[in-house]
Amino acid sequence: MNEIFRGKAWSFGFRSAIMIYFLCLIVLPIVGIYTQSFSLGWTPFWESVSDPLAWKAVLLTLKLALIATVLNMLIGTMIGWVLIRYRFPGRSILNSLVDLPFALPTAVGGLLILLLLGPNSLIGMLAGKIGIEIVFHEPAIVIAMLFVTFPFVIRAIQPLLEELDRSEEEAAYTLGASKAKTFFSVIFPTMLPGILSGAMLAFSRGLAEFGAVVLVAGNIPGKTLVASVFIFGEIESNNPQGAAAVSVMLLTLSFLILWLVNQLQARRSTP
Amino acid sequence: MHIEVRGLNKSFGDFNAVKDVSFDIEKGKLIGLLGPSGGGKTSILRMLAGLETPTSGDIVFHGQRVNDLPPQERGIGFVFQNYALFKHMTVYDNVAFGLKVKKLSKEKIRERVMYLIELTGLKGFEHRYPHQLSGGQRQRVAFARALAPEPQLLLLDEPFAAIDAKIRTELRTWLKEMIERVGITSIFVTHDQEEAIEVADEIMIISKGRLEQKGSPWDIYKNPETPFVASFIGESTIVEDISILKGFESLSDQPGTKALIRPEYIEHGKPGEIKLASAATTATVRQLHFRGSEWMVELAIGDTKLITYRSLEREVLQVGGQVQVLVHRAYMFNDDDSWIMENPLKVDPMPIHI
Repeated sequence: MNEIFRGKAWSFGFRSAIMIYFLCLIVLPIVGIYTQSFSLGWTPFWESVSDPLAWKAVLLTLKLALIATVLNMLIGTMIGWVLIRYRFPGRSILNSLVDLPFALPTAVGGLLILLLLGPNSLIGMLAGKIGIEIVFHEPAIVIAMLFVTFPFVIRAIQPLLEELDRSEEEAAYTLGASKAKTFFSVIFPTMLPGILSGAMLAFSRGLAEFGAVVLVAGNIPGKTLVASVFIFGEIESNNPQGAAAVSVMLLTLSFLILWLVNQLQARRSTP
Repeated sequence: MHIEVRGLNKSFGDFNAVKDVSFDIEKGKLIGLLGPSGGGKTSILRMLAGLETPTSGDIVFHGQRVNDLPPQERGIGFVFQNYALFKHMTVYDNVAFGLKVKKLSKEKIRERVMYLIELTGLKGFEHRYPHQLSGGQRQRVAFARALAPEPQLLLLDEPFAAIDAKIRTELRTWLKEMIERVGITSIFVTHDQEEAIEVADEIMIISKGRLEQKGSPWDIYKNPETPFVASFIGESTIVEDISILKGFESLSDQPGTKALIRPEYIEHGKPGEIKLASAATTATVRQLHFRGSEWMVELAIGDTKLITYRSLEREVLQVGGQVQVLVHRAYMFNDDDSWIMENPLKVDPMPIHI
């Protein structure tokens, strides 16, 4: 079989299929968005972007996605560590449950948050008593982002931890290093590329989140309206240029992050 | 450092990896722990390092019991089988690690690291990462790193296992020289007897968790104390009934006793080639195998098979031909006892005095 696929015609066919796929599904839509947003020239683009509601939405999204990412780095690192380093009943089930947010429609995630943390729920009521409002405020958005980006950091550090040879730690011990020193100078540097690349993916996914956020954010323009919901609103109110302008900002950010992730991974393979 | 181990035991669940092992190691000696894989050698080494806790028994360094000391405080260097270099650190940082932990001054660290890098022939590679080095170089880094904090005892777990056969011999000699130069008490684990014999001052043979014998390589070869040691060291054939051989007829009344015969104990030749014809038995050549520098000859006496070697300089034998065989000695053993028996007929029955 292998021999057949190595033939010239097959090879050409495969490569063309991939190029066409790439062109139709990735390059064309992206170019479309850029042309759409600049279709009326720089000035309307600039106007759309400098609309306070637009850039406030983008800034809010950036801020909340950043918070969610930092939380993810902490929690994800801990969970990844526990799942690899500890043996306990239910570990493999927990390990497969990590991917649940990827499998679940994000709207379901949003609904879960509404039900669990909403004003009528126990937690929502308790939080309300001490003056914290979760749902329809920023905390809910962060929680929604946290929920959908949960697997990234965990899945990025797990292979690195598995690869880390136990004897590397033991070598550090025999060289006189304490457990803490060993963690910070041997284990943590091994995990760091995973934490960073996982965090960047989580960040760009957080920026883009719509389904879960739209249900719990309240979507008050200028206050709890995130970029993706803003785009949706612009389309609804028949303003594709406005939508495209914000899209371009998000897209450019995503590209930047993707490039950074690549740089990180390249450095990892040839340090 | 003088090392004393008393009644060391280690069990993993029901499995007893190390059973009642006791030994003494003098300062400055290079010891080889030799035995089949899975025999408990590495467990002993790891217990000495403090990476494993003994189930019972004492480990004494310099008269001080160290059982409860963590590996950090034992003053040992450990070279792991896969070297366990820190992948994200350069050669320099790897070697410097133990010194940085000790919080030495930068200049002192630099001086010591550069000395070791020079000593191990790694000059010019300081800024490389482990994955940019060859196996032999990695081993040198692991060795330099273990030596950097000036340990009292160096432990090496299968130090040559991951290296090409060709460089292995070279590295062996290098390591032996290096250890002699540094003058550090060292213990290394190996399953390769050639390696142990070549490198170690003393060998400890470990099998199934027990210490079978401890002694110099020559001693162990000459006077194996247990049948296991006799069969493990060197090459040998086990002969069930040795009384068919001339000179050993007296053993026909000891049915449980077996003989272990090494190829180098056997002299063979065409009729007339052996001077002591009266002590020789007639055998048939069953097989001839070319071994590069000599012939391996499989001989048969009745149902008994013997193996010996024949120099390429001598006349080539024919399969099926008859030869005379003189067995100089045999290592005899039964369930209770073992001894070495010289062929009594070797003393020339008709000495000619001039």
